[in-house]
Amino acid sequence: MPWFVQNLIVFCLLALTVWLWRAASRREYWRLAAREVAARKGALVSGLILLCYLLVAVLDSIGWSVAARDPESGEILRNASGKVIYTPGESVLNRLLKPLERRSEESYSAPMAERLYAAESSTDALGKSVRIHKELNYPKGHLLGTDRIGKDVLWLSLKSIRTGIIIGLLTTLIAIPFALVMGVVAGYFGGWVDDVIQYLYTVVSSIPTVLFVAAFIVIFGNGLTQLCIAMGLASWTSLCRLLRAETLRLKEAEYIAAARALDTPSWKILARHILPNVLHVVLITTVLRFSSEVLSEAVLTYLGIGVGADTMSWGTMINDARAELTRDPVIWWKLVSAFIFMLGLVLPANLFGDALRDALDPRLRTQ
Amino acid sequence: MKLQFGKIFVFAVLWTLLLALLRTCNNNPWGNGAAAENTHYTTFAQKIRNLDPVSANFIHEAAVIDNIVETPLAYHYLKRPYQLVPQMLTELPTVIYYDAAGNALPGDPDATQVARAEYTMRLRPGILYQDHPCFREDSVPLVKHPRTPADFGPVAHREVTAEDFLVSMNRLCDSRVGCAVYSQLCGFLVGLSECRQAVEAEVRRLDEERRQAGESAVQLAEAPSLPDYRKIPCGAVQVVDRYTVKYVLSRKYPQFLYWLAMHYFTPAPYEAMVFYQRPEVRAAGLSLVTWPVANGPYQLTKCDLDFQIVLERNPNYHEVFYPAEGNPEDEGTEILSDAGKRLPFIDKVVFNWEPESIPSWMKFQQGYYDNSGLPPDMFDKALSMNPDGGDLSLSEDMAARGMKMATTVPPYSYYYAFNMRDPVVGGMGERQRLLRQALSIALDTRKFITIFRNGNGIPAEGIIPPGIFGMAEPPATMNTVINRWNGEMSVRKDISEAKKLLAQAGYPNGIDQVTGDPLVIQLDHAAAGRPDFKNHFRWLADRFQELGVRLEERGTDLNRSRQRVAEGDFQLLFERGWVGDYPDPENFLMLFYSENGHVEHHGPNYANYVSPEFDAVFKKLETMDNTPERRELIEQANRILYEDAPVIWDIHPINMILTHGWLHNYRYMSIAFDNLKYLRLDPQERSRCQREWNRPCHWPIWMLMALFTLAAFWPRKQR
Repeated sequence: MPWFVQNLIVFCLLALTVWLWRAASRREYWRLAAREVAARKGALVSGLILLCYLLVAVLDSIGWSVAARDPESGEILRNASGKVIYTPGESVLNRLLKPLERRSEESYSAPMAERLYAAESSTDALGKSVRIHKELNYPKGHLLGTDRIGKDVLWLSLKSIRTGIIIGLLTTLIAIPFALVMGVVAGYFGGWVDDVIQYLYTVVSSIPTVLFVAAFIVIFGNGLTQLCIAMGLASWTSLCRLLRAETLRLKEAEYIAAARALDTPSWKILARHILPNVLHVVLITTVLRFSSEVLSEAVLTYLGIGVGADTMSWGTMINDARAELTRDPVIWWKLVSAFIFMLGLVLPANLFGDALRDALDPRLRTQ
Repeated sequence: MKLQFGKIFVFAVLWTLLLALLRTCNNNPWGNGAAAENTHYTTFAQKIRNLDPVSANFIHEAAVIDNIVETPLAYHYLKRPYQLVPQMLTELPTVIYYDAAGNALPGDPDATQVARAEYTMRLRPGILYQDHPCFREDSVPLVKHPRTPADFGPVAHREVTAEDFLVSMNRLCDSRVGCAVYSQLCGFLVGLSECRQAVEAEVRRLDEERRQAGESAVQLAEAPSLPDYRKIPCGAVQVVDRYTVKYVLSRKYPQFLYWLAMHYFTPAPYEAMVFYQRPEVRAAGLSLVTWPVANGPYQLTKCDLDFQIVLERNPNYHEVFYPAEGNPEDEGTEILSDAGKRLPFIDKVVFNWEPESIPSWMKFQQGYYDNSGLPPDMFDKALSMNPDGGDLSLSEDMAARGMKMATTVPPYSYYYAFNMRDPVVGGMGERQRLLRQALSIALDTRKFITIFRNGNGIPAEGIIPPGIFGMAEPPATMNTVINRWNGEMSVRKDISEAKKLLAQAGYPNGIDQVTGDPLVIQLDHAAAGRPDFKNHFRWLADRFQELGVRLEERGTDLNRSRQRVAEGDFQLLFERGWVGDYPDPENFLMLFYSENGHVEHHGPNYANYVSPEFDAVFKKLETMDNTPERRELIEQANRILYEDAPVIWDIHPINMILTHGWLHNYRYMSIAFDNLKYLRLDPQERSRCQREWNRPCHWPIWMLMALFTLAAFWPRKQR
């Protein structure tokens, strides 16, 4: 995808978020909820951590390419027809982390080590063969050590954030429209529509997710987009079920009955009265599901059906650890880093989700 | 105090149970007493799918098959470089060359003169097949739901005769059997395609007969017709008399003798094919693929391809003796102590499926496997450098336990193939050639070996591995296109050289001067499931990135990948290995011969490299003896390949095999795998070591149980 398109998508998403935020803050209900979440210290801290992760992901998603220059003369390169040649370009995060990325070693080194982890055959000054641990290019320069091909693990973990967030968000964004439309329609209209939709989501939810995703990946190939679509298609059912139940409850409310008595068309009732009143369910589920999607990426990559080889992800790091943990001596830092970074995303997401549910769910609020 | 009889009873039972449990249980996977038997325990790590000598194509399958079948010729067990010796024959086959007019040519004529070559093999009389119900004179009774051929009661055997070689060759030509080397054999054996047509015609005739008799298409498909292979003539094999076979070749091809040491050229009894044609045998899933019938030193007694394969000594095996001489350095060593004794030594061989390297390694460490490869990740633990210089050797601990290590460079070559039909990287244009050279320089395989293989490999200069004729010590045969001599060894040229070549090719800094697009190379692979694949790929991508070239992966499953390779729909192929069929440079250089092109001729030239210049040199050196002239021609061929760089030369792996002290006579064989019959075991020593190395540590359980009992009977204060 060209940077121009990708940047546009990111800005649209950000604009959408801001707009939603402003729209919500005009309403008493959402203002109260926000105040309640902010009153909890744990939730507030979690929210801030999540924001940091999001920031890293956004920085890694926007970027630009520059005109290619001749390394010797510094002139801008042009092709035969005189058009300027552009490099593939890099994201903002890549540019910021350039010093970290450049600090590469030959192979494994432990966190803050001064020498390579594995010994290497070499000859000493007297011509004898010895096995030595070579000195690193950047001694004590790797906070979390380096991996098999000598890349800084901190850099790998930071680059994995975007993968994790995209999987968490995109999957839910794909699932929400399905769930919302089907759940609300099934709940509101009932009858045969309800039967069909119920039948559909019961069937879909009884297909094991891993098998479904594996089949999808085999057909459409490995990749982040394919993975998100597959997981999104497999995961809309539970939200759909919740929304259907919520709509069934709302349908009996007096104001809906009043709207019906006034002969308001169904689509207007759905859009005006039902949809805004089920949004809190969507929000809660999104935040809570987010963490489980991030975790399932790790599982799927471990099974060899996750993201492609050129995408960094925590699942890949964990998958590598399978071989690394059986080495003697053990290489532990990659697994530990992946663990810390995932925990850092998933735990705040769960805490924040809990707080959000407490604040938004009217039934819990009245207690 | 009141006596608590119930509690006492419960604890008495618990103690007895625990005592019984700990007395009887241990970590021995083969059961008590198994170590004292003359049984060799070993592993297979890749799934075995086929044990049919004619259609099995993988080396891990050959490792089992080669011990069940017997080839006319065999490699001398001890001598290196490899040397052929007669095994089923009274002497090495004799060859007579004929010219186009049919006149015999004396001596060693030029290849261009030879129109036909006849190899005559004289079989040793008295070689018997293994016992099998198919050889019974009386009719074999009907057995419902048989599990193995042994369920058919009494067995019999018969002598191997010349006709069995004809049967085997006819079966090989049968397209339904699926022999992978058929097209290769067509290149030098006479009349194979006619033979294939004859077999097909016979099958059609039989099918028609059966259809006339009222059999349905389903029945025909269920039990494919079996032509009488004994009756179909084959131009390549002539049965002269009961013990004499003549192979007819269409050209001069001295490497043919090596083929006689491969399992495709073993005799096959027609009776076995008839036996496996029986409906109840077919229904039970028994076939030549799982239960081969042959005359080798061992016979199958259990064949569970997903779990365990068991071979037992073939009592009918003819007299074969341990070699009396080996390499000069073997003189007076232990490996010659069994000289002249009758083979095989071991009664039973158990192959266990061990897909994961760590459990297999652990069982080897505990003494439950007699040999093991060395997982690269265990390198630092298992090996140490001799303190007084020299080579790697086993760590003190392992050497003290009697383990031994065999290190060899087998004749294997790994490479990344470019597709020479691709418009960007392929073709013989100057631009593409320079691009390929630049990419080859960027991939410093010496570094790859340190990072991914713990130094266990040799960077490849070209396709011919060390130890094969034509590969002298560098710098003589150094690949000067990608390497330079640093005074001690050949090392990769500097990356700046690659950048220069890339700019000359019209891709300065990885950008196409003509279109302005960045250069992207696609890597085709079916290795996504390999544990280290992602690291491997990222390492490759990083190396190309140094040139500004982007490497993209194009992963798929094995079938799709094969199809893409067959259609020539790829740019760069992921690491591919060529395992030498026989120790001759021709077997390696033929990977670049135009008539072996994979897309057009389904041959092993996966790069689809076509160069008339190379072809001319190859044709010349192909049939020569290993003379200095041949060495020169090989060098010439190599230099053409270096210059054209149709593949990125990768590595020649170094293999390390560890054996326990009780396994004697082990010598690594990397071409044929019929080595089991030479091995000797010392079961007493094995039992002793297993006991010593696996002393159970019971006291924590006793302590826990004692504490538990004490806690239960401790007098409690009443409230």
